[in-house]
Amino acid sequence: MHAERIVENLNRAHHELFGRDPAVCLIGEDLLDPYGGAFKVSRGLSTLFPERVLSAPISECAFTGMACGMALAGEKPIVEIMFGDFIGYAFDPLWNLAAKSVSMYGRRVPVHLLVRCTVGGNRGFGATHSQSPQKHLLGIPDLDLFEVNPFHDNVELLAELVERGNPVLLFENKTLYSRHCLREGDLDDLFAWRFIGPRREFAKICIEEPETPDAVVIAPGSVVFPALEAARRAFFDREIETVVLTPSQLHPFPLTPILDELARAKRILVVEEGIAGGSWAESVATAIYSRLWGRLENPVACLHSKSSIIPCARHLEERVLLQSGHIFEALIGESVRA
Amino acid sequence: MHSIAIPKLNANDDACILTAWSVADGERVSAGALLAVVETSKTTLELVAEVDGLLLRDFAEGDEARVGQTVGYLFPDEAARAAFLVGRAGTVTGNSNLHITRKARDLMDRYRLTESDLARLGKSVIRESDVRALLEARADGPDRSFSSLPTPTGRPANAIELTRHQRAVARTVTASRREIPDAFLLIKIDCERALGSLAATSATAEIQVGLLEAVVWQTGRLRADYPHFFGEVIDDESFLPATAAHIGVTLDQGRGLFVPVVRDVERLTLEQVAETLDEYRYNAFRGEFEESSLGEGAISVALIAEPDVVFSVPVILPRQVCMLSLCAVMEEPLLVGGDVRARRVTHLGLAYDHRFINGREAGAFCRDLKNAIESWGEDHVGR
Repeated sequence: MHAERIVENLNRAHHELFGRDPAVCLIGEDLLDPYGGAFKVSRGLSTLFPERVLSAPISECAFTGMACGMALAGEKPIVEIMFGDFIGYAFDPLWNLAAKSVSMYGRRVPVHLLVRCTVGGNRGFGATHSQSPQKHLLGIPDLDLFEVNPFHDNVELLAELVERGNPVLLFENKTLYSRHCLREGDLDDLFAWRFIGPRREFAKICIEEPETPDAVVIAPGSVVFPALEAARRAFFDREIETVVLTPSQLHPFPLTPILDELARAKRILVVEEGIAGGSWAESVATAIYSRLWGRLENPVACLHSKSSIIPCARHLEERVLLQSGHIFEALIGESVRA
Repeated sequence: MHSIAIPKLNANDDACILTAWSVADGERVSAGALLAVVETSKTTLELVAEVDGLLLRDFAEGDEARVGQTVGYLFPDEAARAAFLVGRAGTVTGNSNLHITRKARDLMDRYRLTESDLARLGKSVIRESDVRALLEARADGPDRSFSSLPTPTGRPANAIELTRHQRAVARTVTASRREIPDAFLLIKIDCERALGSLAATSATAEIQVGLLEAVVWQTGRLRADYPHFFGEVIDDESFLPATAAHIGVTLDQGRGLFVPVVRDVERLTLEQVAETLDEYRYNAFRGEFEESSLGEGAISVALIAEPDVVFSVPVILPRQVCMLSLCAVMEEPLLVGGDVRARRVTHLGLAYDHRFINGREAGAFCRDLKNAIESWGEDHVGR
């Protein structure tokens, strides 16, 4: 019937890694059973592997720094940041210790550090528990950014990331946890999806694979859902043929596998829940311009949430965060949100 | 009727899986009884009846329901449950497996294509280009109204948009007004005698037989003498006479305007005409028609039943050559040798395409119809 939920998939990913590799451990807040973590990703782990799950005090700087040291000592620590809004505390060890250590000693030093970071709003959690801080970690040499989505299997993804040798930040939008993982093929009554790229870098979601799509929307993580809602409406209302592309890796962004797809599109949208100003979407747009300048029919549209604090009240939160209506307007070319 | 909706279950779930219903469809439950079990990302929860009632399940086990979505209903009694099911049947349209874009739907409406026509393409997603391809593949091909109407864009937010059905009506009447050079003629008919006779027929036949039925029935019988009033316009200079008197009748019971067709009226008795129209009135009330009853008529009749309406110019349906309108019945004084007596009259209008019909023929057609109604006799019954 239904595939497992994304939170169950992430939980299984941890269990399989822990069972296979004794160097893997988990550090973060409130991880121990029976609570099993704020979003239940670590459920059951401390019961099975009590010596490898460390429930740390509320100090992202301290426990991330500790994990960096463990990684340099050859361990493969996973850090859970309960709310990504507080990744700022862990910024220094990630920027100046973990990422630098890979290359500053004259030879390449593998750093097997995975920092999982819960992000995003639409849950009524308020200004300091709802943000999307991806852009603040963008563009640091040897710090790779990934984001969980409903398409890429997290069991495979986590296994790959702990072996990557570069420190990795994995963003997990909290609205995805209760969603179901999606199997390649029909997504619903209208859309179907498949992986594209030599390393399955993107999920490609569309209606009957249009030869020359009216629009391509690059939508990571949870924004794939408002993007699909907008694509559905644009198709029925205006016959706008949209292809949605969801990457697993945000940075460095794997542009090459989708260049042909982008070159055929009349319009390109890059959407994210974060806010504009040195954002991920803007960096992707810049990369697209440098490769496709002269072939684009329209400017690349970057869609973000409003530059504002995120209100707690749901109806006000919806006015701030990127919603499907904004994507729809951009798809039909009527307005582009700043 | 009480709706059973999925409540907000926790902060993290916008949806849940309805794992199992605990009550059979149609079974009676008391307030507080367990209705169904739902599963969120965290736990399983119970949906409990808030009122007493008969259950109507409206959601499949194992499917995912959004918070706020209605998954079932509770009714006070079986009659209410049955009435709801009947009412809802009227809103269900056609083949739900087809995904039809708005542009495709507009074109389908314009050419009166149904979902079954499109289903033959073997596609599940229907775009405008698919409908065009189907139209071009047809022997008769797209007609002159094929040139597309401008698609309205940039409507203000408070604009009222027409329903899909009314958009189809709008296109039809616009095409008619643009293409058909029509003329109009109105004739007064004394229906005193016919109404008396029809009342008797209604009582015997136990079905409503009124002036509309009489006009439809009698019109069918005029085809032999007026073949060029029945049929299909081919182009500005030619016309294809119909081989049977298929007569469209406008019906609007508040669910939209329909023009179902009474087929082969020449072969029907007055009672059969009445039975067909009776069925169509019921269909119009529910807003649903069999595809076969909405085909092309050879001529059409519009009934304007509002009291005191004396004058109505019908809009000739594209490709037909004329259309009758029947106005209200009203009393008027009649001078008979210096005495005043009351009589009941109605007005019959005929809008006709002047390319194919001239005033003299239109007048003759109306005169024959008038004479037939005014000399209406008992002998029509059962014929």
